[in-house]
Amino acid sequence: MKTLILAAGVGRNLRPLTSTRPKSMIKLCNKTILHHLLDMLKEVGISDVEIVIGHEGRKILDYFRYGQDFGMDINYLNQKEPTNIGDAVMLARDKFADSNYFLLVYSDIFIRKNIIKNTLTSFRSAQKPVAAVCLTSSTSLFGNIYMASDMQITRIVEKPEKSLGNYVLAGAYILPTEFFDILESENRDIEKAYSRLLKDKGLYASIWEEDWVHLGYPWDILTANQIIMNSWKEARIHRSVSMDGHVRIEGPVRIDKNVRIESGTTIKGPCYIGADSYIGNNVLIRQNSSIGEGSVVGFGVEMKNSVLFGQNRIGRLSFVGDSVVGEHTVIGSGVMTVNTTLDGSPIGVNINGKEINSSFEKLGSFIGDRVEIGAGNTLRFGSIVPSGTKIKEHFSIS
Amino acid sequence: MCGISGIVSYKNVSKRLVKSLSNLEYRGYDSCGVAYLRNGQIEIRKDIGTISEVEARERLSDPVSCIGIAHTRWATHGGVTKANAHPHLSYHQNFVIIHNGIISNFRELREELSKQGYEFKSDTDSEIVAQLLEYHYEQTKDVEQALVDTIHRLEGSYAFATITPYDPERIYCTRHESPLLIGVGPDSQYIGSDLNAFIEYTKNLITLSDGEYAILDKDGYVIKNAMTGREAQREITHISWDAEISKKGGYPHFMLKEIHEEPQVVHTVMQLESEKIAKLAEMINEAKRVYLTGMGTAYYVTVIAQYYLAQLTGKFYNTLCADEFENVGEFDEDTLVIAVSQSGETYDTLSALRCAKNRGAKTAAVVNMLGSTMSHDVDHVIMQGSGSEICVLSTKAALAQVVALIRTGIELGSHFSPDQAEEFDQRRREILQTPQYIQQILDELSGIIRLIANKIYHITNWLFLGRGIYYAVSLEGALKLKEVTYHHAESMTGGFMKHGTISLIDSQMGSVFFVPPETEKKLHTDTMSNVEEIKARGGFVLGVHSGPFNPLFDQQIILPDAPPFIMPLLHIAASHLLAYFVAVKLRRNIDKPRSLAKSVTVP
Repeated sequence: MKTLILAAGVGRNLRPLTSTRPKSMIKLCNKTILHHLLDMLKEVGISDVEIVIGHEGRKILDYFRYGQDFGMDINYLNQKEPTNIGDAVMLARDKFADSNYFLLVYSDIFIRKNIIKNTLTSFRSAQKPVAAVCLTSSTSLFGNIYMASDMQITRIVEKPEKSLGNYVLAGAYILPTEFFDILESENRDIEKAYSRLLKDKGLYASIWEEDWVHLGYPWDILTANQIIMNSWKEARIHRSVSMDGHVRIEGPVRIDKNVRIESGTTIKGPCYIGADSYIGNNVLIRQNSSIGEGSVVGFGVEMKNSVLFGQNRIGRLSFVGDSVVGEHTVIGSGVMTVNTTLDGSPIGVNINGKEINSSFEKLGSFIGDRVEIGAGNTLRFGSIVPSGTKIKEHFSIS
Repeated sequence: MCGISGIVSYKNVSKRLVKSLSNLEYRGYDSCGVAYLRNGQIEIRKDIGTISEVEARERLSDPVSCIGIAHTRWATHGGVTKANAHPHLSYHQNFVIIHNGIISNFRELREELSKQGYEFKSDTDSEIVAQLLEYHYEQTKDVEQALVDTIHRLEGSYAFATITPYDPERIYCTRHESPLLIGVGPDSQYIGSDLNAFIEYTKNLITLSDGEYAILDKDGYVIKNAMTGREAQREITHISWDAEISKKGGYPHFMLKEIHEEPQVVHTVMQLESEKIAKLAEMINEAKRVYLTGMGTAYYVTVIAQYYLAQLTGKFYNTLCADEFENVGEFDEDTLVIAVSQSGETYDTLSALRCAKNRGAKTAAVVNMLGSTMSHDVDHVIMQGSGSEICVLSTKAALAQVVALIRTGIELGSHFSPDQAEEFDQRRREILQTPQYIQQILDELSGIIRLIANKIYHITNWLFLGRGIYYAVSLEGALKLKEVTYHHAESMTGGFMKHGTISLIDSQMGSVFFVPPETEKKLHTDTMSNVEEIKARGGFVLGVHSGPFNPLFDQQIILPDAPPFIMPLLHIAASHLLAYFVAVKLRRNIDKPRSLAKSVTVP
């Protein structure tokens, strides 16, 4: 089946982590989200895909090229202006003209298990247009559906004001090629086009019951990372890893090649340490921490539930908790990412000038690429540090 | 407990046979197997495991043959081993059988044949059937006669089928107190424990009665009475169900699919012929003593119905678990027993009906499965028409049964109090609104119930509490949770909880309260004071109610504000979703929970 992946989005609400890359190029445990998706497609026998690229699209092209290394045939459609999803989908119209149905996948969702397989199975049994749907806690961000017992979607309510408990559109569709005409006639408004489609041709739900994360806000990266790690059962440590005595490893810890770990360090899985990293003495790395390749973690650092994109330096005696840190970012010694309020209330984050409640009681900082934070600084819970920022050392006595 | 299936055809049967077996898998799923006749030889493939596992290992559907029988097992006699899996061969390998039920005199028979030099390979009661067939064939050199002789030797409940190289183009089968249906096709004939076995291939069905046997070949069938030897003429029933109905479609589990069909089945029950309902009401009216009975969920259906009947008629009707009938029941010609059963094959319920019938009582039933034993054994049957229910847990069928009995109650009430006709019309209209309210729960509360399930799944001990009819609802809610999550849940009235059980309450113990709407003032107030009592002892409380938000509950499911009369039905639907989502979180085998079978056809 012809497949269209939408990967052109700007990811405004995920900044600063998307200022230098598309959402789909965010790496989780050494694999980009788009790579996870292509693996799923390959598993169901789909090797011919069109990817709509736009914002930082070059990064996708450089990484996947034309699919030669992945055993796939990848073509790119360039969305020059970041207008809307309808325009992005329209780019594939001519390419798909000779097929009856096509698979449409959004690349800003993260799912560990194969949602594509599930959706295709539903399509094969219904032989009608199908949309994957799932349950989530914040339905007001998505298209909420109403359906009949035969799974025919009867109504879609886009982003209702009040969050209900409906199934929501999960970002994978099998659509007839007539959809392009419908989309055109609805002025390329994709939400209206779905509603028209279900009236004219019918649209059937395919329920997805496994974990599902929409990467809408920076903290969703932490959730996606947890989903991957929670599926791990055993530790995997590359044989080239060198450790001193007195390194303690508990639970499913994965360590890639050429990592060096000094004595006195404790790693409590699930955790990931990327290749060529160095972990100093007496470091405590706690559950759900992911350290990207080529990083250096200094003496006495504590980490928990955090994602480091790679090539990072974390200075001695720092604490990184419930945070995401961009590539090549350097954190000086004694830096504290405060991750909780005194009264334990859910933490709000300023996303593009608007305070958004993350509903997390513990949340640290979201730090972009190539940031330098001088020694002794304390970062407020839920703070956003734009890429390239340089923060001076903080001295109590100077 | 087990599922049996067989096909004889002009064309290869193996693919169809394995498909049919998977459609029966919910009846039993610890081992399975097939037997074909090829070039005058019996070929058996069987092993322990689910059908897809055994198919992958043993390639059940590879052989090409025009005749075959198949079996999926839920062990009763003998452990789960390859040797004990069906089909079973006779000693000289000339007869192969599949069997569902229990042969109660198998030990005596086995001893007798052992003395004749027959060796047994399995620990099952079933193997004796193959051995007897062969033994009697040796005496008579006639397959049909051997079958009849075998039938005369067997005691217990059984449905079995056999194929043999002595008559390589026919399937022989019979039944006694275990289900067996025949499917009649243009160029193939089918047998099955229920119609899921062959509904994809033919919609023409014949029910075999107790003590009858059938001989099928690719062109047709003959049915005879084993006692008299006379041929029986049976009418073919045409089923309107679509094969599509027993497929999952885009649902992850049949249980969720069937919960989502609840609005539809309530609607269907409301469309059932009024004469059928009126007849049942009339029977209740004429009887001096009435029992409502069933087992498992069906029993709880009768308890819920008991409250509805009391509300509608002002009279008290007995409910009794079917297996206790013989122990405390009192029956005579003026007694009416109303049984509720999804499958219509429930052993205990059938026994209760027989026991009552033998003492002259009248019988009636609310049944889902067409062609089931119960549906033609009772004096009056209401076929609820809820479509096939594949998940081992009953959800939609149970809800539909409650509604069928509510309709009967309304009919009866109008008869007793003709002056209140308007009020009963109002009740009828409210029931008609039930589907839309349940649809609203399915559409708008699924996510909220799942969120709650994800927060409470670690609690392994539960009390399900309610008062009045909500106590009956809590019985059903607790059973659903137990069955599918394997967590402990017990149900009692809010008042009873204080008399002993309250000592269990601590922070580890969860309680689910089904709270009546505020319009039912006393019930509501009393229930809420029970909530306070549990909270005061540090217990965790999940409230199911119709609002407004109440901070007293640790978690709450707020149902749509429906008319009080139908509120209990909404609570039932919500409790089904709750059990489902907890089981999803715990990654249970939802459609086929451990140790359960769809219709329990053994004592």
